[in-house]
Amino acid sequence: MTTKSKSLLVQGYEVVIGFETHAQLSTQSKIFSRAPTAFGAEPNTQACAVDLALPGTLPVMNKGAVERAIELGLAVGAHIAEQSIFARKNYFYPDLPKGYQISQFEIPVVQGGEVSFFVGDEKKTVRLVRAHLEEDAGKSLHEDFIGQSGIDLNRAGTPLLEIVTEPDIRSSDEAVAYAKELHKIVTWIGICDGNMQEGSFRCDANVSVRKPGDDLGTRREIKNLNSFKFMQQAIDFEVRWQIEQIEDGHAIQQATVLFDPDTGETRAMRTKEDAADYRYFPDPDLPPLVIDRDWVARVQSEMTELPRVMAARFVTDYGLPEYDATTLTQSKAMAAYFEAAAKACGQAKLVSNWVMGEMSRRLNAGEVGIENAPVSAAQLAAMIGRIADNTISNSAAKQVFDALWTEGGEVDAIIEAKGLKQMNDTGALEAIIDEVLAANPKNVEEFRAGNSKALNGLVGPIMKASKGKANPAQVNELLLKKLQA
Amino acid sequence: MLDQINGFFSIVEAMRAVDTTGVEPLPHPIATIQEVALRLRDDIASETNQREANQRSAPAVERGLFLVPKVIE
Amino acid sequence: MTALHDMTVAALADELRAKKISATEVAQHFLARSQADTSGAFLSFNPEATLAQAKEADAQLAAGTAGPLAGVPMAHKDIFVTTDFPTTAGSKILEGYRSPFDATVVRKLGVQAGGAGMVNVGKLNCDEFAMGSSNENSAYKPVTNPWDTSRVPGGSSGGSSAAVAARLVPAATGTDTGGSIRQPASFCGITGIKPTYGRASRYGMIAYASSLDQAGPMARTAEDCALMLSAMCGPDLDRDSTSLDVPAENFARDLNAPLDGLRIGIPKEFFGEGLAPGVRTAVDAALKEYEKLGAKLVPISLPRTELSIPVYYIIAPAEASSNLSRFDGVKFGHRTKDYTDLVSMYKRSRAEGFGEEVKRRIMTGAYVLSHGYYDAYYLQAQKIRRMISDDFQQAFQVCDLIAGPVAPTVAWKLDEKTDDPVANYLADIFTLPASLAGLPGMSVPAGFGEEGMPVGLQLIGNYFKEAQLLNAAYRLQQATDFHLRQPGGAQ
Repeated sequence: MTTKSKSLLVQGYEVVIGFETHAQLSTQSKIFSRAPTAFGAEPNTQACAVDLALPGTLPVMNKGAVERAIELGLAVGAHIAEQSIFARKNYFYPDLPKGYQISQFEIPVVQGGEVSFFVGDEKKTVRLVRAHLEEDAGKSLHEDFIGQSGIDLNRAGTPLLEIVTEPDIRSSDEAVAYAKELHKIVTWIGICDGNMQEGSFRCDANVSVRKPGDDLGTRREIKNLNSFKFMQQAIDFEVRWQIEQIEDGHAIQQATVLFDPDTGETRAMRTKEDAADYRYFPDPDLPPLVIDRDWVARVQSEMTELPRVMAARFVTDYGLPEYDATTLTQSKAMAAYFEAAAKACGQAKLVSNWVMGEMSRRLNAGEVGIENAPVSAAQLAAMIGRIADNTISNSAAKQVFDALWTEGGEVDAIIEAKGLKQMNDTGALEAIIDEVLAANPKNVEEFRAGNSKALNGLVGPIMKASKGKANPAQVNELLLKKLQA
Repeated sequence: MLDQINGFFSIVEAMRAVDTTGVEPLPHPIATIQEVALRLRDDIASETNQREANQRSAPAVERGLFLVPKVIE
Repeated sequence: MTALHDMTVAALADELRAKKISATEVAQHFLARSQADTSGAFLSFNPEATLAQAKEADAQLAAGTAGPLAGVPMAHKDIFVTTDFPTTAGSKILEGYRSPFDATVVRKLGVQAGGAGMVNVGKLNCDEFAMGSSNENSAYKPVTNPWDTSRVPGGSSGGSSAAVAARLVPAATGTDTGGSIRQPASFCGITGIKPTYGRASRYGMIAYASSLDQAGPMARTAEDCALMLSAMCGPDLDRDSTSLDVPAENFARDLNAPLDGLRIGIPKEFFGEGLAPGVRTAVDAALKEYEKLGAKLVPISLPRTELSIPVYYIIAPAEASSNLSRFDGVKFGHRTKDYTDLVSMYKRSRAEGFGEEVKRRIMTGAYVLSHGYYDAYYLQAQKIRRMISDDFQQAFQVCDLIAGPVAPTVAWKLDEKTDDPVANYLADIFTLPASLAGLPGMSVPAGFGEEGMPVGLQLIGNYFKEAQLLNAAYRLQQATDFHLRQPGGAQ
């Protein structure tokens, strides 16, 4: 059963999800001031007069933030606006020093675009509405105070790119896959460090349900999803909750909700801004942002090869299936690793299998990135070379790999030391086969009587007698020849 | 105060009646005679830590944090 | 020997440069006068800081590293943030506030390296957050007009104009959003100029209406204004995104140029029924002087003059309502003692800290930006603003500068208009148009009107034409002596 035919409906309802992602841009300084953006500094040591909104301060735009917006726009195939406007979003909150956030409203810097990814083996495309530049707010800390909160404005003014999708997502699986793909894009092109624990990549999911064919249902917004695992749980819970409400005859009220990882439930927030009118108007302190086509062309020419372009190249140049190519381009590091190994040994598919399989398993278990893998691309290539030239079997290779991973060393030396060389001498092998056949007449009879499974009882002893060095393919070939003789 | 604000809005009604079809608002007063575009500065973090000076006039500070009544989410 | 306080900025600068007097003795002289003053012009002093600045100026003069106005005393409107004086913006919400940085204009005029070298005597009273036309909206105290202490000095730069008129300081900075330099200059018989929007940096100038606010000098003579304006203006590209990248100019370069053939546009809308007869007489006489000097008067029309009132009183409060949101009692400024939670802290701090007019404008401003009203009010106003601007460009096809009254009347009595703010708004009719268009505008003493009160002549130039305006003002001041007159009991 393919994924395509599997229905995405939940209890007969269609799930409709739109995402808003806030990606903190990896600039040195803030979007409108020259204070540093590094994470983890002592409170308010990275909040300058402009960030604190001291009387008389004014914003000055960071070119690096604009450049990163252009890069994102190009990466998703969007239109980069020649002129875009900064607007003030007015509301009161202690972590918002000016009492307004400088954002973009009617005319954002990036318009349109799309993100494609795989869910299982099915390709899905989510359209983007827009991406716009804005400033981050500060933080409120509650733990150490009773009845009070401490406000740290270090984060205030950090540049954000808010990326908004059309409501094209139809399941929590798709949602997580979209979020992972977007995460990959922004980290790949280097505009965001993607550190979700530190708040560099924050997702809000707008979720609603409807019977197929009906108008869009009322949506609730799940805010601040900062892990893929929680994202899935939260959306699943919210969907079930909404369906339950509707089935019980209750209408869904528009609300902002938070996910509680301890209970696994979403609950409506105390409304801070739900019914708020932000009174958007163009910020008179900031003239229009003009991006000429020369600048866009320059950024384009200097941009690193995008993951989807690289994946397409892997398909054509290395003959890899689209699925493999997409998986290998999940990060720049992995793609680079793959390519280095593939070029070194010329066995692209085998390299792909090992990287996606054994290597990824170990990396995930040890929570280690491929940049820090104990087995280098060169070592992997060497090992795969020895499989391809029949020096070792696949199962022997697993031992070699394990040795490389845990102890390090040279491929050939390990093969030698562990005596893993495959037996390729057919004479010796035939001798072993003859001995085993002689020692197991019952299996021989059963096989000749038509029970092909009896073969298994012979292969085992052959492999054992050859101390595992027999080439399995050869064993089968010769064994059959002899039995059918 | 409401009377005074209402009085103001009566003079505003004349303004609303003006036909402004096809007129774009000015992004900057000088935009009447020349293009005004947003200046972009280089991405350099040159502001040093001035916490003490910046918090000199703060109503309530503890351990570098501005204190406010508890913020409830 | 002329008394120090009867000397102009130019004359003082010369004497100081020639080392005939020291910056310290000059500062002491003006500080004493200012501290003894009872008009309410000053909100704060810091004699230690003033004398330290004077000492620095003296050192620079001795070393030959001094700026062009070194040692000349002045005072700043309390809208400009200063590190060595408190800054209140005329409001209780900033009572005691000490800025950790100086406004760019303050640095450019002061004794810091690269500055003009002027010495700050104190911070001047103003309408709260520059909102007002009489200085009666100051949360601290009103200011009295030196020419008649029962009358207002004008606003919002009322402290600045009164201080200069009373010769407490030879010059002061003001800010002009809808006429707040020009109108008080007119009411107090002094000279003041608002440059082209974007000429002077707004960094450190507490914002009222961002797209309208401009800093400018107020002094007795056009020459003094020219000297100060030259020091105040210049690109501030690193700190103010609305600051224009046009080079600093010597605005005094053409002061004495002849006016032959100068075409002065006279807008018919500025001479309607609401104009007080005494004001009209004085303005007409000044225009006659211009004709004698070789200028030609050209009738023009600025058809949307009256519309500038609602347009301004929608745009300015809208921007202000947002600019003043930062006064929330969290990071600086007044915090109420009487709160139970965050919301009550915000509400009470702002209710206690802001005066009535400020609250009115914040409410109006929030309203015109609100959903459902934005298009009909704010957006509509911004479109008409462009049309008003275009009207000026039309007019400048047939004239070089525009002249007319600054205000429909002379200074009114204290408490006369405080009940009806809208009436106050109407009196801004002649200054608002140039503000909306961002054009440079001046007020030049043109004589006296009703009750012997001063009347100013307004000159409006095209963008970047400050030197031409100052030239026209200078020539008028050579032909008249209104700018030299002193208020009777103003010692």
